[in-house]
Amino acid sequence: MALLPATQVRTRLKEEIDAAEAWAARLDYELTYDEQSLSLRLALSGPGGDPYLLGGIFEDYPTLPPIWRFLHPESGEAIGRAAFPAPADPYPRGSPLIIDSGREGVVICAHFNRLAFAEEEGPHGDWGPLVNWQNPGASPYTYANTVADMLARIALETADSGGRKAALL
Amino acid sequence: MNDEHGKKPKEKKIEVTVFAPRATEPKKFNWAAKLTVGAAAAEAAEAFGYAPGQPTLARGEHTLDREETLHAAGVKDGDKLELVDIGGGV
Repeated sequence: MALLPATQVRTRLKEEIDAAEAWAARLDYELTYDEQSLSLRLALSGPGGDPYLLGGIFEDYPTLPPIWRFLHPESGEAIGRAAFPAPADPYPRGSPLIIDSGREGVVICAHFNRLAFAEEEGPHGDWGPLVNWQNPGASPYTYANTVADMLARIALETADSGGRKAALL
Repeated sequence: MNDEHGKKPKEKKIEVTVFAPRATEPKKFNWAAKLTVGAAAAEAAEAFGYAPGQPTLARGEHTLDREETLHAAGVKDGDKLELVDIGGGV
């Protein structure tokens, strides 16, 4: 059962999506936001132009963090590892944002992804409940609390990735 | 070192337009060319209302080294740069 009415989530997202669309336009990314389903898709490229498709779902946002995962770049289906970019090696920013863990076998491991929390079978029981997502405390880890900031961080991870996690079929 | 008139030479300043993902409008900054990218990015991040983190500046998808000075990173007067957090995953 949803914690927030969809209308409330839409109102909150309106401003953030405006900023996200402006960011995507500046960097020449294709961003599609579906207000009805409270979801978005962002087409990204890895090194060499390898296509990736990021999907976000915003049910109960911002009480709960979004659900972020990479999807098949053509079909848009959740296919697990083959949809995800692998971290560069050597990795330039401490610990990688995308790791092999969680219920889908791979996860964008940041406070701003619902799937990283143990409540959603993610690796982080130490973060407590999902509603803690905006209070990660002081840490060297990445932090984002607007949609555009989340997109920017994930796009960076894709742009300098080390290829695909698994072969795309 | 003072110049021939006994005055300190003016520090070279560059004007940079910074875009932040969360904002639809950019902000302009006048920074000394010898300022590090990390210090400039931190100032920009604060101006845009970000909590302390690991911000840096980027040209498109290319992030600049936070340890370099703006000059060494090739930042020039009139440049337009993006602000991005480069903290690691967890």
